[in-house]
Amino acid sequence: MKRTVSPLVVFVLGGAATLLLAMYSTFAIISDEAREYTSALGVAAISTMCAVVIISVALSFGRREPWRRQWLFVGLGVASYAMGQVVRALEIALGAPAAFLPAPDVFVIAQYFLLSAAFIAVAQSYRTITDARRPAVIVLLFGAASLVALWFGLVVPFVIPESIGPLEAVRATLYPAADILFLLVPAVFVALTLAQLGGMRFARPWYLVAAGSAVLALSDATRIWLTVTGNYLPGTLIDFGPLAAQLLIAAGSLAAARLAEEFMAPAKSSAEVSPAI
Amino acid sequence: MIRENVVAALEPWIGSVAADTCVRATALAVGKDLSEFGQADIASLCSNVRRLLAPIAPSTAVDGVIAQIQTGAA
Repeated sequence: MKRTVSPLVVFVLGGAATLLLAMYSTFAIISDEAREYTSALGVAAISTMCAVVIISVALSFGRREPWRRQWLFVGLGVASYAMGQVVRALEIALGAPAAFLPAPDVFVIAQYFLLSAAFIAVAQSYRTITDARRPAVIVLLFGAASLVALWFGLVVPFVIPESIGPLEAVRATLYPAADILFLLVPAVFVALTLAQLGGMRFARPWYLVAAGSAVLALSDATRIWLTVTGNYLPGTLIDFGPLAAQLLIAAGSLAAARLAEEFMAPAKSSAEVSPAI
Repeated sequence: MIRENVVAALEPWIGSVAADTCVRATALAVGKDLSEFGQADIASLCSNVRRLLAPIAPSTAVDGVIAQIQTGAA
């Protein structure tokens, strides 16, 4: 494993910056435009740092190692989110009109697919030592119940009666559905699969990724619910949920890097000893 | 004794159930009962452990766990 940057330093700086930004953006007495711009710019910068951390950890694993591919999916997912935030900050700064499918949305949707791909790759890697049937049944029931709750809790009472445009209505319905199907369900499935093994250390990085994806899905769904019910204020605490999710995911990659490094010294010393034997 | 050593080495990383399954699967593969499992079977055991861990852990960690098993069995 080769180390090219110091992810821990980047991660600590990112976490501190997130906290400061969330406090400033939420509590400072500034205009709504300034609040939205500040949060968009900060979220773009910090999520970019997270993406750099995760991709650097992924590339530190050998080309043939499964962890390289799994963490690259995760890293590219976070990079995609970061790109979306950069475009959103630019749109706010330049006052660009929203297109039919705004550019930030394309990147956000890409993150859903990339994180889903990572979870599928992780689940596949554990299939020889775990039983996937029970977690699969549980998440199918959980996913179905969540979709029913979404339909009767958000779409029927708020989206259908409101006189919002068709595009907004589709977004208000499809985004929470994607949160459930592409983030929450795969995250819960991986967490349940790994839980069969008890508190084993090889699984810890993926617990953090699963927790991050759950935070991302829940905060995004909450933001949409606030928007549809007319209670959303841009740049407030709820906007930092997705960013906290990226930090949790980056923390997972650091846990993976620490596992790999932990064994480097003994492996090296045993290699040095073997010729003498 | 070997079984206990191997399970003890693997348990923190993949949990006791998977660790025990790994030893049992190796014994089955070499056509032996667990009570007959001996020093001569360590190589097949390590090979089986490597096959199981390779998809779920970095290679340095897999090497380290196998080194622990070999040290414990020696």
